[in-house]
Amino acid sequence: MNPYQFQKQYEELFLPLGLYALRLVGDTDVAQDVVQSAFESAWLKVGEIQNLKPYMYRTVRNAALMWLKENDRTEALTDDMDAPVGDDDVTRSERDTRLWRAIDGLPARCREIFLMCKRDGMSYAEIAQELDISVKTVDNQIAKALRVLRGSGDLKHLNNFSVLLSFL
Amino acid sequence: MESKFKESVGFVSHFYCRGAFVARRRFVSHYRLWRWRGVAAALAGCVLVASAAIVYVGTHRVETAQSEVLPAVEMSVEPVKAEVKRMEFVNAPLDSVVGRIENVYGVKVKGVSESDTMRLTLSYEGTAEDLVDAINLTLDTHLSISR
Repeated sequence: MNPYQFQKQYEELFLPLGLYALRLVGDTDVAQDVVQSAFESAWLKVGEIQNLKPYMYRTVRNAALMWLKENDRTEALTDDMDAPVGDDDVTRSERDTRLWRAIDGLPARCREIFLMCKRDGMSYAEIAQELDISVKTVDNQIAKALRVLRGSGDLKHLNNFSVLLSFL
Repeated sequence: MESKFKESVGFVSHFYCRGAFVARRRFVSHYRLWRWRGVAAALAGCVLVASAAIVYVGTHRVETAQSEVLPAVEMSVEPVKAEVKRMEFVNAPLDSVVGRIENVYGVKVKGVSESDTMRLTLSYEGTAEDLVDAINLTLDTHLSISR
């Protein structure tokens, strides 16, 4: 692998690996540090690595588990963490990546309303009062966000109405 | 599938932070990237210039061969006698021919008029006198040599 290929893959894989690490360590800053350190150590062996993606997933996993042990976070360790990185782990991190990028791409107002609902746990009425808008507007913005998120994922065939109901 | 989607939406929404997980490190420096691009651009530029030069030279040679005005070409060889020279004229104006004879043989040619517009094509080896005689026969002129 040449340095330019490494740089390109670094830029492509940083987010999915970051979200994979985030599921293990539960902290955004720690996950970023773990992934960055993994890439720094991989860079030292750039000429020896044939396929960077599986190598990085293994490295990030090992680094995350090491961090959990070193920080006495053994309660976060589960039995299946000793198993190698599976296709499901990679698929899930790629799904998380698509959703993350979809949220990034939402209009600012739509993203704000969506995160107030899903991240902060606020009700539609609370959001409407906070932003001085109607509940209907909140409803429309949430529906718009979900349409975008579904469009980025692998569930395009699902009925939007039934999904919206499940989020109410 | 739906449950996986919902789970991922919940996870990503919970931790989402704009600007996080951005790959900021340049393992290959901008300088090296741009140097590589610069080298490639310089190479491409050289190839372009070389191609243009080849085309120009080739075109210029064709145009020169087709030109009506051709300079007199002197081909001097080791003379048998000091005054014997070989000269070649290709569609050369008479005044140019006279000038070349005077320079090469070190003589003065008389009898040429400024209004003469004749042109000469001749390949000759001999003395100045013999050459002038040949020109007079060819062009019906009255040139003579004075030393």
